[in-house]
Parts: sequence; C-alpha cells; structure tokens
Amino acid sequence: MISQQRYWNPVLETLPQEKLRALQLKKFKNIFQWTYDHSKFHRSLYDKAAIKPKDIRSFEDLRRVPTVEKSMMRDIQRKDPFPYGDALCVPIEEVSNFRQTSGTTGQPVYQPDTWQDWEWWAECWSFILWAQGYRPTDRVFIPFGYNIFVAFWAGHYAAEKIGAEVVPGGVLDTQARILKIQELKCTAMMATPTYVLGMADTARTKMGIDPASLTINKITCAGEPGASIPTTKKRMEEAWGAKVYDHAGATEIGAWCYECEEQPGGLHVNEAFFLVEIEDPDTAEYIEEPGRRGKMIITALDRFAQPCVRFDSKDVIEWSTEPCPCGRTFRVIKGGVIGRADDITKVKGVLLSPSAIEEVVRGIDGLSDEFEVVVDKVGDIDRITLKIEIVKGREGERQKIEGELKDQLRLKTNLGYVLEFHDYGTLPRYDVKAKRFKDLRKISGE
Amino acid sequence: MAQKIDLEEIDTKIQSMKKTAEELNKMAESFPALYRNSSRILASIKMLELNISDIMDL
Repeated sequence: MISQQRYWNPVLETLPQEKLRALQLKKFKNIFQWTYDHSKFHRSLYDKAAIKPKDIRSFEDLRRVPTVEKSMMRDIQRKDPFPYGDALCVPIEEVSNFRQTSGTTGQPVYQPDTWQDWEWWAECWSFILWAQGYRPTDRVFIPFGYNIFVAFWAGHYAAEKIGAEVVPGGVLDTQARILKIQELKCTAMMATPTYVLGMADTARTKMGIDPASLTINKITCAGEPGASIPTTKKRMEEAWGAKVYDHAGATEIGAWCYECEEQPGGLHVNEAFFLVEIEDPDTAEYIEEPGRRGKMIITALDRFAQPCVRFDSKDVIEWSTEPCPCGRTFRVIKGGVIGRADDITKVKGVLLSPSAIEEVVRGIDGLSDEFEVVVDKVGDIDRITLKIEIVKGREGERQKIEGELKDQLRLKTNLGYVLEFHDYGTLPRYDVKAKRFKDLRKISGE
Repeated sequence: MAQKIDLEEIDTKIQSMKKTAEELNKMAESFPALYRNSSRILASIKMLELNISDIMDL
C-alpha cells in the first residue's frame, strides 16, 4: 500500500551521502551553465569574477562562484523584461506564477515561476508533507490568506499532489475556520505558529471549544521558527492534541528543509534538490563539520525561471552531529533555522526590519526623528507597538498623520501596529548608536 | 512483500513518455489545447526525471 510507505521518494531519501554529493555537483554544473547562458545579470556577475561553467569541476571550484544577495536582486527588478529584470531566464510568456517577498527590508523581490517551477515547488512540499505523515486519507485545512506571498500556496498544491483533500480556508475569519474544521472533521492543518496558538486561544476563550477535541492530528508550520522552538512546539501540540512539524523555505529559494515524523530536533535538508553550504560570516571559511554555526549559502538545483544560485540567505544554521532514526540520509540542521545573520526579525510570520519602519517614520511630514519599536506578545500573539512624537506646532494634524502612518506601515511592512503618540521630546535620545528596536519576546525566552 | 524498484526500467518508460509528449507538443502549433496540455505533461515528466532519471548516471 502506497500510504504505508515511509518515504515520498525511497530512492533519493536514502541515497548514500557520496551519491548525493555527486548528484549535487552534477546538478550544480547544469544550473550554473543554464544561468550563465540565460541570465544577463548572473553572467555579468560571473564574468567579473572570471569564472565560467567549464571551470566547475569540484565543490572547491563552485565555492568560487560569487554569492547573490537579496539587495542585488532588488536592484535589477522593475526593468525589462518588466517586472523581473534581466535575471529572468525564460521568455516572459512562459512565466505562469508571480509571487513576491514581503519587502520589509526595502523593495520586495518579485519571483517568476514557470509551470515547471511551480510543479517543482509542489514536489519540494510533497517531500515535506509525506515525511510528516500526510496521506491521501487526510483532509487538510489551510487557514491562509491566499495572496501574493508564496507561504502555503505550495503546501496547498502539494497536499493535492499527494492525494489528500484540501479545504482552503482563505477569507474566513478565525471562528468560521474553527467551525469548518469541526464540521468537516479535518485531520491536518498548515499555519504559522503564532496563528496556530491564536486559533487555539480563540477556540477556547471565545467559542468554548477545546481545540484538542477537534480532529486535527498534525500541523505543519512555516513563516516563524516556533515549531523548532521546543517550548512553543509543546504549547501547540498540547493545545491541539496534534503533532506539530516545522519546515523552512523562502520565496526566492523554495522549500528546502523539513522535519520528519521522528522529530529529531532539527530539519532534514532536501539534498537531492538543494545544495546547502555553511559559511563563517566573518571569515567566509567553508564549514563542513557538524556543530559549528554559520550562515547558509544555498542553491536551488532545479529552479529555472529566476535561478537561485549560491544565494546568501543570511540564515544561521549548523549541521547536526546525530543521524536521524527515520533512515533518511538527507543531513539534519540542528534546531532548524537558528536565526538570521542580520537584525531582521519575524513578527506575526512576516520578516520585519527596523530600517523599514525607520524609512516610513522618517518619510512622514510632522513626525519627529525619534521613535521606538517594541515587540512583545499578548497571550500567544505578537504585538508591535510603535512609539512616535509629533513635532511641536503640528499637534492639530494628528489624525491626518496617524492615517498616513498606518497606511505606509501596512504598505511597506505588511504589518499592523499599535501606535503610541508621545509628547515631543519625551522619547529617549541617543548620542552614539540608537536602540530603537526592543524585542521583548527574546527577553522572555521566546 | 516490498516491490522491487527497477530504476532502469522506470527510466526507460519516463524517457518514452517524454519523447511522446515532446512529439505532441511539436504537433500543436495551431492547437492551443494540445500545446498547453502537452506542456503541462512535460512539466510533470520533469518531476519524474528529478525523482528518478537524474541519478541513473551516478
């Protein structure tokens, strides 16, 4: 019986490490040649570094290939061929899917995918869902605002692909979603950890429903690290009476790693589809050994419309020292994605950069230069409080300023804020480096 | 009892499907339904190649 099979792909997921390395090198040569031949942006980058496809014969060679950062992708976009710019490797008419990054570090990066790339997204997620016990008998509820962000779109397509029944909970409110889960006896769910906990709280406090009495037996999380944080995972599992699994992915990369049913305290990297390298952020030294943290450089080996070749993701990871009892040979990153190399943080599942808030505040006529951001939790839900001041003499314009500020924050950061107006001159002033961003979730151990 | 996986035979059938889908795709210049559906089939066949064919020469 297919449903009793442990692996989505019993060949690739148990391939010996030396064969996985050989597969990765072969595929890297292929995607590098493709990218060199079809992307003006990448070709220019590689020509400047004096490296060509024929130079790639070993892993040592490929580490000479320049990395790409998000800011570089941002710079080339909104140009011809509109709106993707010259990293697009296929005729524009072959693009079937548009998605974008959340844009909290500046302009969002647009991501084109062909239908084949979209099939690939679903394939990546099929590895995830099968490893987490999803089967054709499952009825999967997806309480996700289907939109321009990739998030659970690929999870939806993969759930269909593996043969499960999908219930898209798009525009329903939280209470309606809970009632639909109850009515349809859904068995699985995908959501951010914040929302998983928030739904449980709503069920208990507003509806008198114990979420553990519902039929959800497994939950796949994304967007935040919570499902890899033991205390948060435990809270979610106890609230829902379900197993909670993590995975990691990104718009410009793909869904590159996943937790399996064994919950080994880390995530398997899909090493048949991705090449993950770890680099010391200070020395750029390549890190091979387990137990040593560094930032991830990742290549999506089979994505073609806008390739992801040696992308500097800023994610901090480390290889686990322990093999997973599930039998997969894909290596495990211990504790999932540990953090980010820069100061970007995730709030309500959205990447938030303090500089994006600064950009908004400083762009509003009538606000002073000073502001402060406090992120904390109310119950299990993230809350962002933005403290600002109106310059003297403009107090009468508060309503107008507040409206503009709310609109710009929503537009530029995709998040809602509690706005606190303080008298001019009362927020802290700094002489050297300002500390405007306070993440109280970290202080409380989250 | 677990079924034996004959990768060579599977790959041979994948390549055969690919050839057929490519031929249909080439015959579809004035036939949108044939063109788009054979293109989608080719995308699915690519997933079979990623899952099986890509390891045949390792």
